[in-house]
Amino acid sequence: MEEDGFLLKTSDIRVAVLRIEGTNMAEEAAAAAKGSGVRAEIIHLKQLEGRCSPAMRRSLQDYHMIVIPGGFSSGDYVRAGAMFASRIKSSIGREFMNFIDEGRPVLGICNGFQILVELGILPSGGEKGEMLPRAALATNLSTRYECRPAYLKNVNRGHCVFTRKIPTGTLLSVPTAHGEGKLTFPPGKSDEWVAKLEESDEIVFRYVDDRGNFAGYPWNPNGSFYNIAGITDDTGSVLGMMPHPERTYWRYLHSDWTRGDLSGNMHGDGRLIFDSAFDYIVSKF
Amino acid sequence: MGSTAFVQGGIPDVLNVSVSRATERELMQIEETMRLGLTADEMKLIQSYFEKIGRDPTDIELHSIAQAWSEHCSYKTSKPVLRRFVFPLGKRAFATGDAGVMEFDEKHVYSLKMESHNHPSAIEPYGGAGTGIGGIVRDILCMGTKPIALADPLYFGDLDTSLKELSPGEKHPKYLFAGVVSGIRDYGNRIGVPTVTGGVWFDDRYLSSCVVNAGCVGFGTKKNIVSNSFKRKGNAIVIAGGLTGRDGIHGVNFASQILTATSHESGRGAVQLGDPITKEPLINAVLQLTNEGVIDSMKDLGGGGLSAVVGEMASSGKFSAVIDIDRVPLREKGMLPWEIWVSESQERMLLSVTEKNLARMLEVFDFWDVTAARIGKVESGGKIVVTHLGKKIVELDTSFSVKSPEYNRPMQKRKLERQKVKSIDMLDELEVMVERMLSDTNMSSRDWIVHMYDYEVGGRTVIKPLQGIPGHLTHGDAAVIKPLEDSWKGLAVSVASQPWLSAVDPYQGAVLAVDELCRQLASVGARPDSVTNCLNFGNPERPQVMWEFYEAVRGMADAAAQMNIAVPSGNVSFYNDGERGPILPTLSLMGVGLIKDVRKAVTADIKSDGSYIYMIGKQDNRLGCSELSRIYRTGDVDYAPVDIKRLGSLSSQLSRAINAGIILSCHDISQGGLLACAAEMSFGGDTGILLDTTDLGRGDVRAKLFSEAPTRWLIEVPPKNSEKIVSIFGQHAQLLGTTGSSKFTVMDNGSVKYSQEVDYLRKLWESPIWRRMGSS
Repeated sequence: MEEDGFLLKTSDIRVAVLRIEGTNMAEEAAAAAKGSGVRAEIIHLKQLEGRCSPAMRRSLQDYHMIVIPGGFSSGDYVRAGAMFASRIKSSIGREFMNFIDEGRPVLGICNGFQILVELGILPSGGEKGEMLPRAALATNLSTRYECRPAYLKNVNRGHCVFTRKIPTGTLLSVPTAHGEGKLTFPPGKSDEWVAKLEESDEIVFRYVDDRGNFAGYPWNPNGSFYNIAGITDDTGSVLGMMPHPERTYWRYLHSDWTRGDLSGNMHGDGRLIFDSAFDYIVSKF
Repeated sequence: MGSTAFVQGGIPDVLNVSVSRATERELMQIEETMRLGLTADEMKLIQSYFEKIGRDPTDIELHSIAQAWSEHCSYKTSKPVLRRFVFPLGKRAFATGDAGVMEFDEKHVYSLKMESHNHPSAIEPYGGAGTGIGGIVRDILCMGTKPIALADPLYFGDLDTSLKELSPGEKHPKYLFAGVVSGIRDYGNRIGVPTVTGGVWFDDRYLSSCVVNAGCVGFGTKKNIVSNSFKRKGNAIVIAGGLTGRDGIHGVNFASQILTATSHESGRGAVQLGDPITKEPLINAVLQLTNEGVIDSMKDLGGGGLSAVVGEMASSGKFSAVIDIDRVPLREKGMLPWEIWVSESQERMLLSVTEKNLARMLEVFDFWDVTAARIGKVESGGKIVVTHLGKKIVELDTSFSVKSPEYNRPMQKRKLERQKVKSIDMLDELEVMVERMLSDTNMSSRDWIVHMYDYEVGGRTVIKPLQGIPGHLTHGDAAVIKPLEDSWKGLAVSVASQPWLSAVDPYQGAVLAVDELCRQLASVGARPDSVTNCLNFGNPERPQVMWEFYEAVRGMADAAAQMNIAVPSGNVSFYNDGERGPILPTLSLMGVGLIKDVRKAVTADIKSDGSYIYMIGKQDNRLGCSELSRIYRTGDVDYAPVDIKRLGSLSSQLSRAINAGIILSCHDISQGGLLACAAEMSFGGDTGILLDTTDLGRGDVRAKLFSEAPTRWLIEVPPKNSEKIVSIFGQHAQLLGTTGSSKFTVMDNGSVKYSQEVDYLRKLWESPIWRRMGSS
């Protein structure tokens, strides 16, 4: 990762947007990263596994950050994210874990969060997982697919690298679009898990209403326990979240931008999450 | 006769059919045995063709002709009408084919197309609607454009229909509605194309046959636009995507018949099965190949399967296609050649590629794990040749086999019943009326549907279908897409339909639908540029239905021509008919407008307290064909007709005013009139409105509020811009009220006629569909 002794510039950052069939939100994730001036490349898992022509072969070592975007990987006909997770596990599992151990950021959005949970990376609770799921993103309480605006409160106290540029307590407008997003812990263990996550500062975003209060449906669109929308791991460099920060990367993508003034700063709320990670990468590598 | 007509001719799996010297009765027995869906005259034409070339046809040849000659594939009833009125309106298109392609800017184009999937959806709503999306997306794709937005106008029977009222074989509208919406949800969301707009209409005349239309908008570059016809001798023919199975056999014949009590069993095999996770990589692979310039021409496999697509790609007559049916990748064993040839299995594309580029094409498909196989070759001449086990089993002249006879079916103008128009004095008090109107399922909030569709996947939806303060969203008029990262130029998309007026006067109904479409596009600040359509009608062999079709097409074409809107594509669906009679004449329109700078777009929600509310347009208090007349049955015939000239001038003035930044919000006045329009604006901004209707002429305040006179909008304007509004619109701008407080209030002639909390009205408007459909 050393760039010949020179400090890494934002424009040197390389982001891998990882996809398989059915991952249909790679382009907007890559566009968001590019919007911040980094280099982003959409790569198919096959290119990391070597199931492609030599020219298309890629290695995780060449990237500073991985984004696993939203979509319906492999159709999500099993549990959402389960197929993609098992393919990562059986092929590039070790490389992927090393990537995280080196402190390089991984952002799982929506289906990407589901995949990180299926991989056992999230939730962590201060411990490394065994690559077995310890929680689930279950079918929404409404039993419906929920595409709607949402407000998130950044409750992280500083552990997560994706909120470096977002003061604790800040409200962000980041919309959701999923059918399976209810963070669910093993029966009877929910309070224990939340306490653990709170203690190790691994809760990042919680759903709130438009006034910033923790609220039920539809503000919490899926019935997630403790209104949890996004969590990090023991390293702080992994973030899994159901809402889509790339969908409010620009101000004009916010659902209510016509109510404000668009003449000034075009940056949307979701951009802060990307920029925090890039800021961290520049400072660390 | 019967089975003796079918003779083993020496090639396994293929039968020769003895048509030479067969009597008409014998021909029709053959027709019936093979379920060809052809008439006696058509069978005789086929007979004389084969007598002329001196042999009998094979079974696969007869199926091939029957597919091509079905109403669904050939448009044999609609083409003479479309040719006269609509085809000239495609001239401004950059390209036409499976979808219309229009210029966006110097380098870029957008494409648009809409299609019906009514019959399959009536049998199997979830699968039928899903494959409807699948099919329309392929139409966009095979022009070389990327699908970027979906729009779905849907029509069902009344949700409150009791089970007792249903005839045998009819499915309850709630079941169909839920199934169709979830079909669109699961297919559209999975392939990652946002559903940005749509509409749903409920009426008993859709009980026997629901209408499910799917529209799609695509985007691409001029240099990558691909032809749907063979262009080069010696090219390889490749089939890519899903495997071929027995599903969807005879889908086109099925779609060219009326539904009966037994269709629900017998038609099941004609319903195709969709697979979005085969489609998503297929889309990626085809777009990559398009960008690399590898594809010479392509077309999607829809109705009629391989048989139809090979015929249509060769229909120019300059080229022949030679297909080895044994090379088609199959999903199941034991399929007969004719079944492979006509199967409508989903997610398939046929591509023509030069020998030089073939390897690259196969490599890209392989990378995306998409099955692709070379199945034939383009040659010169004008024939379709199919081989099986090395022997010719089809050899047809395209000049005959894909050129079906056309029909000028008899028409009969419907006589309007003389109606006694019920006086408004007999109806409910305003207070009761407002509540009844806002909570009618045809007027109420569509958020039950919209939140199940991913309307912003792709990150291009700048103006969403639901607008306003989160938690207080309201209906918008059009969605706006920003297709390019480095340009502010946008596409506005909306749908319109006027089935009730069309039932009274199909010509006026079509004109009003064009009016509505232009209103909606202008409402966000766009200039209407093109429109595509789905013409859903009953059985055209009924002279009255044929007349409805003719009049609707004429109306749409007249209005579009006067508005200078191109009609570069379209679709016809007949035989939406049953024991209850034909459906309402249903012209679904999907329009696209251009907006120079998406940052100038406005939405429908009220933005602030203390603004002025103006009505743009001309009031007319007649109530015929309004929601009020429908709900209260006050009579349909007395309505205000559209003045297209006024639409032209007002809509362009409006979009100019919006682009000048002097308007805060805008909503078109349609179903439910002034009242519904103002109420929806107030819901989205969570702000009250005070309307004063005194200046809207003499008459009952209820008529002023609920009249649906065409070409009108409400706009919200900061008081400081009042003069500008008046100077732009003159007598067509009328100050009607102000915004503020938590109440929705109506005054007329100096007294308060109605006043209610916005929150209360909002709940009335929001709950009707949720209450009937539950949470899923």
